[in-house]
Amino acid sequence: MFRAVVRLSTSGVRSLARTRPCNSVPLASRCYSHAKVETDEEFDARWVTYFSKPDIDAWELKKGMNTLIGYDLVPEPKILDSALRACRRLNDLASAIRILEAVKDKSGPYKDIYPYLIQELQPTLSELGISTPEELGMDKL
Amino acid sequence: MISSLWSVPIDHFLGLAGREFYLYSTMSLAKPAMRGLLGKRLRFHLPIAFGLALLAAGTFKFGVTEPRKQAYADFYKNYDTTKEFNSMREAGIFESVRPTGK
Repeated sequence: MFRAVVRLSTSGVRSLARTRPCNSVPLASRCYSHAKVETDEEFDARWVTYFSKPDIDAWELKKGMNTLIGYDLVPEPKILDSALRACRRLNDLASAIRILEAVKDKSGPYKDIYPYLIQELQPTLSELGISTPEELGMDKL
Repeated sequence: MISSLWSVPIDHFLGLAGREFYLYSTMSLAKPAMRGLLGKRLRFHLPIAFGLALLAAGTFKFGVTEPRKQAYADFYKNYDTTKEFNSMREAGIFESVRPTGK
């Protein structure tokens, strides 16, 4: 009886982790939805396109970032690059630095993700003149 | 490309903070896993959490509540109410009935 409860909780957890479109991870999970599963590449491309809108407004930027941060993933460098360029178009340096803080927080206990992202984004950061929170001393309390 | 950075004048590096400077002087970092990290953690920890919670409940039930219920049952199995009443009466704790005798 307890094993059934544990099994139920595991599958319940799996459906919890699927609050975003199912990625291409080959699990023996059961997504009962008939919706087409979106691949990681399609997901990334969709978000790059979202932030690439030339006349994106401040609300859409904020909404996009908040939605993106809600997913169970750390955004790919190309999505962040697109978002930082959107900040540049909106003259919003504060949001650009906030995006960097957010992805560092999103990484949680996985300390190798943020240095990798900064490495990949370095050309963009230099081009757009965005300082990292570390450079500004904002990462310390 | 990395080795060419060493021949650049020193003030070129002023734009880089400590950690970024270190990165350029070593191999570039490999891409870590970035998706599904919370799901992975939950898949691992939630069954354990539920299991431990059920274990705690079971331990308390069979370690505390069942022995307690058994103790009460054992106490009252051969309980003679009349005998106990009379010994309480003789002890003089009642107001409705006085002890027998003077």
